[in-house]
Amino acid sequence: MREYVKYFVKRIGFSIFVLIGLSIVIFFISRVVPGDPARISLGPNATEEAVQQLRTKMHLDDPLLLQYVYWMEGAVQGDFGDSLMTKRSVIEDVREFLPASLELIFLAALIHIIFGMVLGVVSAKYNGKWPDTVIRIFSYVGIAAPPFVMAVLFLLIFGYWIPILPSIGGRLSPGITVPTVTGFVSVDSLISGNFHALSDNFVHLILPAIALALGNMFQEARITRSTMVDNSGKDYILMMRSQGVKNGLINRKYLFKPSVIPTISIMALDFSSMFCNAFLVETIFTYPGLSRYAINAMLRNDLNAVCAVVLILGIIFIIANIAVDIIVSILDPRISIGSGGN
Amino acid sequence: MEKKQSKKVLTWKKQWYRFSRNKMSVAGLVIVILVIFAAVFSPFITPYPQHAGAFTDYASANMAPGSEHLFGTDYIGRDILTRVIFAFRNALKMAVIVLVISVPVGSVLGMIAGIRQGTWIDTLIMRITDVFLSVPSMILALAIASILKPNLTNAMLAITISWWPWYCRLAYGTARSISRDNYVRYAELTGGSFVHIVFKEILPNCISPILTKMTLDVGWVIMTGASLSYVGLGEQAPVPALGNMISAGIKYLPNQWWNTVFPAIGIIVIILGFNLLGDGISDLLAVEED
Repeated sequence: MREYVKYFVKRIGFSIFVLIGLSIVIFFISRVVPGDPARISLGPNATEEAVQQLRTKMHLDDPLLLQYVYWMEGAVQGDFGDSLMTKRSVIEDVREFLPASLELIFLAALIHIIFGMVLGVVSAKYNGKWPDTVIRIFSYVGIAAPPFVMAVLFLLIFGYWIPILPSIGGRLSPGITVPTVTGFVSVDSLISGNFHALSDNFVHLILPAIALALGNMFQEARITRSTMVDNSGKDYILMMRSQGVKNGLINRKYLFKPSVIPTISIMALDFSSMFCNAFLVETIFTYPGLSRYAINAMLRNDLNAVCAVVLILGIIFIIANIAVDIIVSILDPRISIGSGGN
Repeated sequence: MEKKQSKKVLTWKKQWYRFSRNKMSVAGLVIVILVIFAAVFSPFITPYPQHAGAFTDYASANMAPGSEHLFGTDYIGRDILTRVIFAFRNALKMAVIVLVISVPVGSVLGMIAGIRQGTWIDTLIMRITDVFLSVPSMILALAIASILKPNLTNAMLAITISWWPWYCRLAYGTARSISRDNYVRYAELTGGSFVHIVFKEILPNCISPILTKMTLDVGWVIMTGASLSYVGLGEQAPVPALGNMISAGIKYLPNQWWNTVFPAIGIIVIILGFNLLGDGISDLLAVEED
């Protein structure tokens, strides 16, 4: 237990340092941009006084360092200023759009973990035979195809040619509403007992989730397969086989189970790669998540929103990394906590 | 001398033998050679090289793939095959420039930090690296590109800024592990300059993991570049890029599907080629290290 506490203290201290660094990088890059953020925000038709008012409000006339201090002061209190795009406070926008992104990414992660493992196990079981070859060829293409390209192709195939799934639109079909409690539509519809809404939400999520999951899924199939195949030649497996231990038991307990650990240890990386791929996938399916919000903010030079989203994503990834480290240290007794990380 | 040379030829042959045993690596090599060839000679081998820019021919707009236009034509009558090949040229140019800048910068910084481990130089360089690696390269590249003016140069700059830390960390790991080795200490004690130690003692040990990562990274840089140009933060129309062709074509779905499908296949093929080649090369170098 003590090493966990020690690990936490060390890790959180390091994380705070990284976040401060990230905030400095993103803030200073956003402020050296030519052009007046206040003018960009208000448009060319705004009066000079209005622009000046906003400049004062955003502290744009102060020295850069002081601007950063003001900005950080707000940021630690959760105040990232107003979004120039939605005219609301950025944190309100994040609260609205983040659950949608998380919902999508959790479903994608579920698909990628379950099917990735199944494909990997099948591949390993039929090592060298045709199912293995077929899966391998699909893997090469699946890993090479960027998720946004898959999204566009899915849009064409399942949105237009075989229109069986809704490809464009929000989280629910028009006309279906659930009371907002948590912001997660799936959870909210469960709470209110509205199973129609739950299935409708699922149908809306499935295409973007598959587009996000495919690359990681095939990557995982490859990792699971290679771990299982590598281990199957080891002495302890041969010994068990020679002693007549049932194949099913060997496969389950001694080949499959250890192959789960490398999968989990790259999960934080998978999670962040899905978040960044969601930037385009959400845009293509016009799914109202944080990633699409971020892209729109970027395209409209909404600096407050861009800085806030980058910083918040940084925090989310740090939490994900710590969580994965802990899970791996629990699953694999050989890895002690604290040896990883920095 | 002669003997040494024949030995080298033999190892090349051996390397090729090892490499060619994996059919997928050979397929990757073939794809990469074809793509590079097409990209370099695109003005000569494409059927309508003038279509690579702002060309309009409304009479032959929106033609389906056929004998005259293998991949069809876009909404203003430009040949898609021509534009995909020119887009390969842009994608490769981008990947080469990004890697040529970010790899040396990252590796040299990483090696310096590795040799000077434990000093403030190490701390400074590696902590900055940690900051840059705290968010995925693509998000950082998108954020930086969006703050700058949207064009190819700035897109390349944005990707470069978010790419070097990976090489810094890679070179750091190797440099750190060997900087206490006897031959490095010997060089230090006999008065070898810092530059000599970095480039003559440390670099040769870092070069193979760096090269492996580079070949694997070409595909990723192309993908990041395509993503940037898809959202309009990279190469601007009328210059063809894989991303902006898809985003322009998406408006014409589903009837003029060839506008999006062929550039999409183009991206998959170019990344697939570099991934397969990279896998093959990394297998080769992994065997070498055993």
